[in-house]
Amino acid sequence: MAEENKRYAMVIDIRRCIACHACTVACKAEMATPLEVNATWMKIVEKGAFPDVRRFWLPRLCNNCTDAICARNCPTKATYKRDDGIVMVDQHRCIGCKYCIASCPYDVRYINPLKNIVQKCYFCSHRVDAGLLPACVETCPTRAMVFGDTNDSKSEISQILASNATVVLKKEMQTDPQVFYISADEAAMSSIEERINYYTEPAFIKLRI
Amino acid sequence: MQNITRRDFLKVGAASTAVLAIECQFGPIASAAERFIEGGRSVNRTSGLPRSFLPSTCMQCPAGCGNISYIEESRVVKIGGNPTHLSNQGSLCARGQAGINALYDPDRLLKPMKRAKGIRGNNDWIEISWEEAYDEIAKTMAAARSNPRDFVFLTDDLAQDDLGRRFTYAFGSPNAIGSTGVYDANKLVGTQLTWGKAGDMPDLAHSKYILVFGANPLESNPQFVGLARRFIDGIQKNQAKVVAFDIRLTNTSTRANETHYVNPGTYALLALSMANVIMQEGLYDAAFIEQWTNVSAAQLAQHLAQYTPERAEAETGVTALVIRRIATEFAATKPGTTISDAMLSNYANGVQNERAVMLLNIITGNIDTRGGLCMPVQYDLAEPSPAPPAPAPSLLSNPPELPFAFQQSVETTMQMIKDRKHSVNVLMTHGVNPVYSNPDMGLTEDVLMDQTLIPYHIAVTPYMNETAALADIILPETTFLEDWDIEVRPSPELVPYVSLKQSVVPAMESARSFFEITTQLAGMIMGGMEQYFAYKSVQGYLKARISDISGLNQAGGLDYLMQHGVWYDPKTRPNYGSFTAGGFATPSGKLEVYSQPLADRNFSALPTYEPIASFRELGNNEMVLSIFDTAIQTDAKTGNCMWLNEIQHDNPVWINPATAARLGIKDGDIVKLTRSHKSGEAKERSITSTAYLTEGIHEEVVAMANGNGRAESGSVAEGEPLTADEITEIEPRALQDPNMKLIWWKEKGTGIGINAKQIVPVSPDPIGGGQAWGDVVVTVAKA
Amino acid sequence: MEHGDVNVVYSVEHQLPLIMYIGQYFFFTGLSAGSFVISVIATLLGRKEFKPIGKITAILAPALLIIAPLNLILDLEQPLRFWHLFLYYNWTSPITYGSFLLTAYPIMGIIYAVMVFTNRQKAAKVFGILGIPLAISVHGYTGFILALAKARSLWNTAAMPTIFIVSAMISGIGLVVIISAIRYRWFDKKADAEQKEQDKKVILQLAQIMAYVIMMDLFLVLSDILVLLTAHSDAYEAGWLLLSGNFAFLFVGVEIILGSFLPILLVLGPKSRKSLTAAVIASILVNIGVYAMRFVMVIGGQTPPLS
Ligand SMILES: Nc1nc2c(c(=O)[nH]1)N[C@H]1C(S)=C(S)[C@@H](COP(=O)(O)OP(=O)(O)OC[C@H]3O[C@@H](n4cnc5c(=O)[nH]c(N)nc54)[C@H](O)[C@@H]3O)O[C@H]1N2
Ligand SMILES: Nc1nc2c(c(=O)[nH]1)N[C@H]1C(S)=C(S)[C@@H](COP(=O)(O)OP(=O)(O)OC[C@H]3O[C@@H](n4cnc5c(=O)[nH]c(N)nc54)[C@H](O)[C@@H]3O)O[C@H]1N2
Ligand code: SF4
Ligand code: SF4
Ligand code: SF4
Ligand code: SF4
Ligand code: SF4
Ligand SMILES: [Mo]
Repeated sequence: MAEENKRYAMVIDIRRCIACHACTVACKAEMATPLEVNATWMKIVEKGAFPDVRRFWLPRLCNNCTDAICARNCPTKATYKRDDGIVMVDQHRCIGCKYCIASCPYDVRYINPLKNIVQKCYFCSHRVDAGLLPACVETCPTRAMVFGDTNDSKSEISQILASNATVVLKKEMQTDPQVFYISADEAAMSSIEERINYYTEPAFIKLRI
Repeated sequence: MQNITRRDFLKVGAASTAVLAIECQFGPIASAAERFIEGGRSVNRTSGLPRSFLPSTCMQCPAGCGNISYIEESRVVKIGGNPTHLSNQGSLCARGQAGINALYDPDRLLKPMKRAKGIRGNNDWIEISWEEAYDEIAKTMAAARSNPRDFVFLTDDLAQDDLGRRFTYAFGSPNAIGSTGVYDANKLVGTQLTWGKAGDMPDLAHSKYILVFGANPLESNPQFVGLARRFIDGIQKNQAKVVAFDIRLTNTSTRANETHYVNPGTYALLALSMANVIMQEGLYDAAFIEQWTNVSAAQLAQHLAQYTPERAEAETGVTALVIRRIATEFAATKPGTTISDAMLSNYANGVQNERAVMLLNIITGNIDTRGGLCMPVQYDLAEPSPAPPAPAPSLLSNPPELPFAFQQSVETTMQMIKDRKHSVNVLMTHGVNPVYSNPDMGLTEDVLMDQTLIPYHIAVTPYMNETAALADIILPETTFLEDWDIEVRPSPELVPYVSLKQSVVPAMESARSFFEITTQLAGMIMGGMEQYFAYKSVQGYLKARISDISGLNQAGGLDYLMQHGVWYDPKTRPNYGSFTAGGFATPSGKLEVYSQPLADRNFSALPTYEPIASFRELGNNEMVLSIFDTAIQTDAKTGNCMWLNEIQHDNPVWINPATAARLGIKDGDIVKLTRSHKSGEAKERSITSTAYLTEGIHEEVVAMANGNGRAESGSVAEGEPLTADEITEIEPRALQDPNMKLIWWKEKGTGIGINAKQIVPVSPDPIGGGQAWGDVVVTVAKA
Repeated sequence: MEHGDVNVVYSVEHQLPLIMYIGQYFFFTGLSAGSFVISVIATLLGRKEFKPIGKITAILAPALLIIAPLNLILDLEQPLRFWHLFLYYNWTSPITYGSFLLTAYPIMGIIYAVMVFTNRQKAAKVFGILGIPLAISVHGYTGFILALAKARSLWNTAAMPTIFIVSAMISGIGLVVIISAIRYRWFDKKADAEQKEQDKKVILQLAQIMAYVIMMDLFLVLSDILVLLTAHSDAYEAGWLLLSGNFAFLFVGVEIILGSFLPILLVLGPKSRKSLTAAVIASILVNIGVYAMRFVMVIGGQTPPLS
């Protein structure tokens, strides 16, 4: 179980990330996530005009926020926080009211269409508890993701955080996210400049009315 | 190098101590060791209990990364990377992770099938027993033995199909045709002619200046995981400057310091003009050219003088200013290297392209140095004896009109068969899908449909696909996770290794491995064939394959591999500058910048630019079609993997908005691409797809992803969900997957795309024989 | 595409978790709360002419509140686990206060109704007064549910609970008007013409009160939108979503014009102010408007992607 005095977090160094989706599929396998939904996914945008055009991307997953609105708003405490900061969903307690999905500012929760409960990334706590790295971190071909204990000042992640400028998503939401990005692009981070085009999967933007 | 502080993540198991011992030499491997937790363990999500595991080799692409299968109740539940594997060092890409989908694809073929009646392709099959199947095949093949050279075996080089070649030779036919011809044949020929070894391996991690010529190591590469990591290391740890030349925006060019869009097909001119600048400015490595090439600097400078940056500007679209600057920087920044792959040489002028780009490394002395362009290293495997003698060459195995080609390529094979230049009595296809993957799909389809051209077609495959659909009999093969082989690939770390593919779970139902199939068939066809297939077990055969590698045998041979998945000599270091000991493996012992064999055949002996005529006279609606690989799919190989199809299932046509405006095309419009009509062609070749407007593409090019648009490959590839009832009917139960009812991309998504290759004409480089994938000119119009 | 545009190549999946069941649930609790308040007011005033209305609404309130949570439970992905709400309550979640309020309020409502029907005026008054904060909370908390999901700009405003309460009043009064009018027209067998005239007056008065509450609601909603349009960028987008986006028809057309302006005109207009038919039409329109408002709020509020 969660050890005390630990605070788990993740750093994603976008300078090393190649948008390969290995993390997406590793997570799918690790979590047995059904088709249609994902605990982690890439956002990719293109900016500029030919020939000065570039892509920017951002792997997205639950931030395991320190001040997790999802946990605060969950009526059954199915969503709860462990002492080490990992935000969990108790699959047996969840009633599927989906209020946590509505509450989360980051679009990272989903309804598991086969189990009818809400799920999300929980930093692979079952692996972390066994002394392993999260599945996505382990498989990342370029080592763009670093996971560890930020309370331990000697840990790799603490040193990276100390020596690099990092950003989090929607700081203004006061959730204190624990997924830090190095060199993230603003357009990839923001939700308003969205211009859905053909290549963007419309099926992923599902209206469940 | 980060120090190992994450103690809680570091419980180094026995297998990794060897790795740690050489930490200082191999930076990246040490960090892999840090990530290596007792064999890269995996635990059950609910119980937290460790899962049992077996290491093997990923076969989802040619990289051959080391993987570890985690098993619960004799079912693979998860695949991870093998941290001790030199190439991938614990990582797997999306495709490697999705290998599990390949194993448990509900549409797997598990019973031999015989076409009921009627014409090929009518999809009317009856299941038969292995005995019946073998009986029929053995009878047919024994009869065909009177004319053994008419047996044709089409196979996949990615799988290093030594058994297939052995079977073909033992039968008495030289015609074991791999798919090299459709991919990097021109690169192999170009490098072979120049430095006596086929292929290359840029030492990206140690480079200071990287010139990318139409390669995309961050999305697709024959050594994808290994090279992507080393490329990023080069940029980040080594501060390498990267200049990318491409016809479209890629993840690689996004990471480059500069990207230049090049007119398609003009690589050689670009490279040669840069070489010209280096020679004119006196920035070349005179001593290296003097000692290690078969030309003099003066001779070379004189030859290159014709490729002025101004001429290059006019034809490549890259300005003379940029060409001069980059050439000067490249020569001044050591070490530097170029990186290129199949798409540099997949042109009718492919071998020349390859040699022109190599020249940049040669004149700057960046050959086989730390951070330069290195020769590929890999172990050679022994041919277990008795080995069948190679039958005399045929028109197919050694095409006389393609003197440098290693073999006829699959697509020229089809043309020859169609033109009745070589007759066929039995065709066996194994691990290839030429109907989908060959250029001019219609041609292959026509040939395979024609019973008079192909009297009997045996397909050996785990899945139904476009090619197997045109077979007379199908033998259900095991997937790579149920099969055995030894895999040796060019090592990104420049230290050779041996990797084992082993069966991590028992073969599903009645699927049989290719070893079993060839051995059993040879035993039934007899007539001397059987003596080459006398190994009782595949392990015995593989032991013989590695018998020459003494270090491995000292370490424990096959047993070591079965435990660790991979072996390399921990004392070996990259052997930079190996040529200084005994010269290059060319006739002259030097780098053959001037190639006598080329001169003898009336090809340009020095690296030369040969313009592609059709690109120069593009009509108003004409564009160059470029088909690119992505990080999510490997050609047609991964089409049955649902986790991959979910991410990439469609391949719209990339069009530059300026071009689209000129042609009156809007984002999302249906467009029609028609291949310019070649004389003598019966059918018009055209496809329709959706327009995707993006600023990230050259204005004269349209591009489409490879691997989509599957027609005969099962529910996942075709995007057809199953109903709950259909799922529960699937046998065996291990293949029942409730996810099958959630397949959404065809109905609720953008569709399953279209196979762009069907409109690519068959056109080999006259030197290398490799298919010129890049040469296609199409008319683009709103449909 | 314009040059220099941002082109989204791959987007993050955006689920709309709460579907119309929730909107419907809000609608029914609103109706219930509204009718309860009217009933208690009628009881408190103690005037004879209000008595029938007090009785109708006393039944309506708990009855509607039994339908309302059905919607809630139907919306659950795991309806059979609804009891987890009581066993594993979480006091920081508005749904938790809701589940207890939803239990307490109908009980109170039933007791109150029994008192009203058994003519125990005093007790009815006591339970009525006790019940009013409950009724207001039952509906106000639904506003909190939305307001406390702070990433959704349309919801995350302090005005949200008030808007919900006010719109509940409107729809509640509307329903009472409709039902009273039905009773007046078809079921009231009284011969006394004067008595009937009195009843009609009460109904028309109710309708007029409704019009004034609508004005208050309009003020609240429009000031809410105005603030959204001047706030941060996400809020700005949310504001425009209602004014010109996919929800403009429902919001401007149905909620504001059809559901607010038109009823005010019908009820207060010089020609129609004396007409019972006009009051009924106005009440129907008001309820359509409030239903549309629930839809716009629940679905529209979730529409803007968060990443
Ligand atoms: N236009 C265009 N065309 C191209 C290319 C391009 O870039 N552009 N690429 C070319 C290149 S580089 C190549 S290498 C070729 C590739 O072409 P092929 O050599 O034909 O290989 P794949 O397309 O990968 O298809 C192999 C088939 O094997 C089957 N298969 C999958 N797993 C297994 C297995 O474990 N065992 C067996 N027996 N079969 C299996 C699948 O059903 C699949 O259909 O395509 C070429 N075609
Ligand atoms: N992830 C992944 N890895 C793979 C594969 C895969 O499908 N997916 N396939 C494997 C196989 S079989 C092979 S052969 C290799 C292929 O690997 P590569 O040879 O790298 O082939 P591609 O990715 O098709 O093309 C590389 C780049 O060349 C660009 N290009 C095309 N034409 C031109 C041109 O005229 N000029 C310039 N400047 N650029 C051009 C394309 O836009 C693309 O970005 O990768 C292997 N590895
Ligand atoms: S696996 Fe690593 S490199 Fe690939 S997309 Fe994920 S974070 Fe980026
Ligand atoms: S990202 Fe969302 S789901 Fe994850 S902890 Fe934060 S609020 Fe909760
Ligand atoms: S859906 Fe489940 S986890 Fe989310 S708030 Fe409701 S009970 Fe909690
Ligand atoms: S930490 Fe685990 S659950 Fe979270 S995204 Fe990575 S693999 Fe998925
Ligand atoms: S690069 Fe190729 S071999 Fe390596 S994991 Fe990916 S698919 Fe498998
Ligand atoms: Mo290839």
